[in-house]
Amino acid sequence: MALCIGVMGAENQPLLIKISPNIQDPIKFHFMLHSALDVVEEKSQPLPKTPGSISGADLRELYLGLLYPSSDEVRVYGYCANTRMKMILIVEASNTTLRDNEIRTMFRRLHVAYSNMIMNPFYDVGQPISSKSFHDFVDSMIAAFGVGKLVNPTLYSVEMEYFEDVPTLTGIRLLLRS
Amino acid sequence: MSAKGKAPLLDNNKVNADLIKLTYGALVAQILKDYEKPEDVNKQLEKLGYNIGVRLVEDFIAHHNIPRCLDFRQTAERVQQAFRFYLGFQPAVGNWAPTGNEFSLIWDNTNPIGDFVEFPDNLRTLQYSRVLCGAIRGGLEMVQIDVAITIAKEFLLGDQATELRIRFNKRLEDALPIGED
Repeated sequence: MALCIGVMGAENQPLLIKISPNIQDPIKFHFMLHSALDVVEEKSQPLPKTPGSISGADLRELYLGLLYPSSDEVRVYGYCANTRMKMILIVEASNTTLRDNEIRTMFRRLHVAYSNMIMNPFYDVGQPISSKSFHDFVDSMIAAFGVGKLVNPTLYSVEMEYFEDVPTLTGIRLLLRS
Repeated sequence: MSAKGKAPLLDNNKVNADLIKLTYGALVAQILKDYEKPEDVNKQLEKLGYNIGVRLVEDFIAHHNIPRCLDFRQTAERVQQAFRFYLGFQPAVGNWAPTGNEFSLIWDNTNPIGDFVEFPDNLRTLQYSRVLCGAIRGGLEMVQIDVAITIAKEFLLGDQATELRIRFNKRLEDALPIGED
């Protein structure tokens, strides 16, 4: 099942983080999300300039694939749109039914839902997402990919905390490490 | 993006319906930033619609050779037609009052100008469709029909449809130019 879905804005600020309810220590997942952003950053660097191409043009795919080398418990996937909006997906490593293609489809559906959400004129781009339909969609996504242990599909979302002096996840990440 | 709003892209004279919806959405959001109170925004939207209506009706009559309406039912038909002409898809006309002086324009399961909109809870008094009311009122006023319009149902607020209730008030005899009749 999907254990955690995170959506981050262009400045790495968290827009939405949802963690499956049967997770004991959500903080660990926050940590994983934050460190996954490092890998996303690395993978989404513009390719070196080649003759004939537009300078610094991005030729990479939006889907970044597996970010972490598969650990015992979880696998972390990333997706980075051209607007630098990032989506991170954490799934159980034991779940063998989720292949690359399924993950890719999930990301695509998330991206479509996100783009529909962003069309709402009352949403300010870059702010934490409060849209109910998008929340419901992400909830359903986390629940839909859980045939295993998930008995009660009600979910809670973790409130995002902002440190006043370090508004972005990068800042929080550094704090965690120091 | 919604699949519904597909307009012929090759036709220079038409724009994509999604563009209209996004533009209108941005406009409402901006007015809201400027005026802050939803009630004030409603007033502005009504005014905006009114100004659209009084101009649009001229264009509508000129392009369609519309004869005079003989009763209010015909008027309803014309309004419906105008919506098809300018917004691309038409509402249903229904819920006639027995006296024949009140009817509803109904869009089932949609709001014609608000596909993507999701209301924050603190804005539930905002009437997103107010601009349509203003446009109808302005248009009809130019043809000497005074109407009062209320929003009976709003799809964006969780209703099954968007419904505008239009009530005939009176004929504006004063507005006739001197020397006619």
